[in-house]
Amino acid sequence: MSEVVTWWPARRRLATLALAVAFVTGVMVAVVGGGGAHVARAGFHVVITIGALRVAALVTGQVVVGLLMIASVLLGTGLAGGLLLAPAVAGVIVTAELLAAVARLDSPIERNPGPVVARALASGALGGVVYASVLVASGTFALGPVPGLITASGAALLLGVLLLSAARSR
Amino acid sequence: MRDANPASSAGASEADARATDGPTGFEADRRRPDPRLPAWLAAGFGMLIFAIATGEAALVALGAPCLVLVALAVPRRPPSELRGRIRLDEVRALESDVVSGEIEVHWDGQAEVDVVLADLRGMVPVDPEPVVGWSLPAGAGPVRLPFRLRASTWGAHDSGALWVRARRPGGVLFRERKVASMPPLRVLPTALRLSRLLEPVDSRTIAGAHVTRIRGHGTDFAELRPYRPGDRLRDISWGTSARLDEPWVRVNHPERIGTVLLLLDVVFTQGARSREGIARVARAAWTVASAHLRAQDRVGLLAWGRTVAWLPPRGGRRARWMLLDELLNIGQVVEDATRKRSRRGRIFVPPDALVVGVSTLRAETFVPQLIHYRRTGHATGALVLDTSDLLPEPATRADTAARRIWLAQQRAQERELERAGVPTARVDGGDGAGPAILALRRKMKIHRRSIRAVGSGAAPA
Repeated sequence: MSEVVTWWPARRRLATLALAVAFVTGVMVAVVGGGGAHVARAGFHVVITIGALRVAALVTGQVVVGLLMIASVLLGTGLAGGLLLAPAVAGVIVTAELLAAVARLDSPIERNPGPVVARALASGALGGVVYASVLVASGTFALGPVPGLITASGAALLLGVLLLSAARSR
Repeated sequence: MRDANPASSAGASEADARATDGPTGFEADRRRPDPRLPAWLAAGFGMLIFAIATGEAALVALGAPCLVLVALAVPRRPPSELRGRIRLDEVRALESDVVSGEIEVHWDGQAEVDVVLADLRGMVPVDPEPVVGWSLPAGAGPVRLPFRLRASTWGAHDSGALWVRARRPGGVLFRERKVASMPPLRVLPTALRLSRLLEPVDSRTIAGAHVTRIRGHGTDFAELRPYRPGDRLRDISWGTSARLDEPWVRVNHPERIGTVLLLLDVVFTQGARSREGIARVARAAWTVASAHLRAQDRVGLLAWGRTVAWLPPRGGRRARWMLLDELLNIGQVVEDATRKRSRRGRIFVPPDALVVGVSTLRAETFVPQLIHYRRTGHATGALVLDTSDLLPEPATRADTAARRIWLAQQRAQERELERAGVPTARVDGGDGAGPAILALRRKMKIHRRSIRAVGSGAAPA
């Protein structure tokens, strides 16, 4: 176990980072979507991210809005376009992780943001990979929503279990 | 065990008795979800439902990552064992002194732990600051965390609470628990404030109020008697011996002419009003004590379940500090009904002692104690301090009624004392105790005369 950490500006740094990731995610979605409506949705995502910095309960809203923003683009593109959105999915997840860390640091305790950022990036990467895998699976086998749901959920859970066991063995 | 500051852990064992132990007695134990848990669940299931509703299988891919994250995080339950304790190196300090201490937190397995010492009153964090708190990276317990506080206001402080929040690394559920409370710390005022708080008083108020029957070595003449083997040669009265043609000795009153015990009573809450209440009791007690100390009396402080603390004969600053310290200690004992007391019941009081109660009549034990000492034959009196002006202004009719009931109860307690033969005098508001002490002295004299008259069968004067 490392030493006791006493870094004061950690919360501010995490908040700035969350906002930056939300902004970059919005830009990615707007670029892939290529329309004024997508830019507006991306702007709304950034606004709700700012709100979630103050009110922890808005983290749920940020994730839902972020995924709906991606869904609006996904529905109009094919498999290739959908795969381009994997970094955006990771961005939404990373933003939520960072917002949760900011909310957790509501008391003015000092801390080291390093492990938090690393974990957020890992979650984002995992989310992106799962999204891409399920998207490819559903596109390849041309499943309908209900079989797709069952298959995707099963695949996702299996992947999760495998990742968890891999992390434990390390 | 990790020790963030090994130097500060030296001497931990000697102070262990003063430490408070955590796990028992606290109800605040909450398990709460991280803000991410509702977010992942809402987004995951929401997207799946959306996919079914729209018939777009691709949307399932958006919900899947959220469900995977939930599936990975939920099994990591927060630690089941979570306890801690706080140790202070001192039990007593002066205002503006820095007091060091140590927090020890235990938990099972690997966890990320936040530790906060909250609700500190009368103490200001020095290190760490602005809050005594740490956020510990993922690791195993136990951990020791040294801290330093500055005593900002005088009084008895034990209001701090140790809160611990723990979760497994990557988990979305955390456990929050109040694991220990602050050990009591009595903060005494600085010398300057002490002088203002307990200004020296005119000793004429009570000096010579009583004379003991004890005789011994001193300067005040008591009697002459025939010489007995063992008497000191210096005590022989040569003139009397020459007149009566046999050796006679002179017997004097000892320097210490009486024993006065102050039965102190104070109940306090937090805040400036409480401190003013303590200051009033201290001022009145000091007025009585300093007068008796100047009259060479032996003055002791008496409290429920504790031994008598004798004030230094010369009085002075040390005696004043001692008086305040004792008051703060009594307040803590009265306030904390759950604390174990070293001795239960009343303690031995010298038979010739004058017992003067100084009270705000807020503690339930005061009146029975004083009546007990009266019944065991001690000369007793009570100074009752009126603290009704320290009550908050009544906001509702219920407050007004409660205030009236409280005042009526106080009057009833005074009457109970009077009926039991304990003269009382009331010290009003912020007035000095001098007039009340004179009134009490008069009442005690009348009371003594009436007892003598009853004893001799004559009508009281």
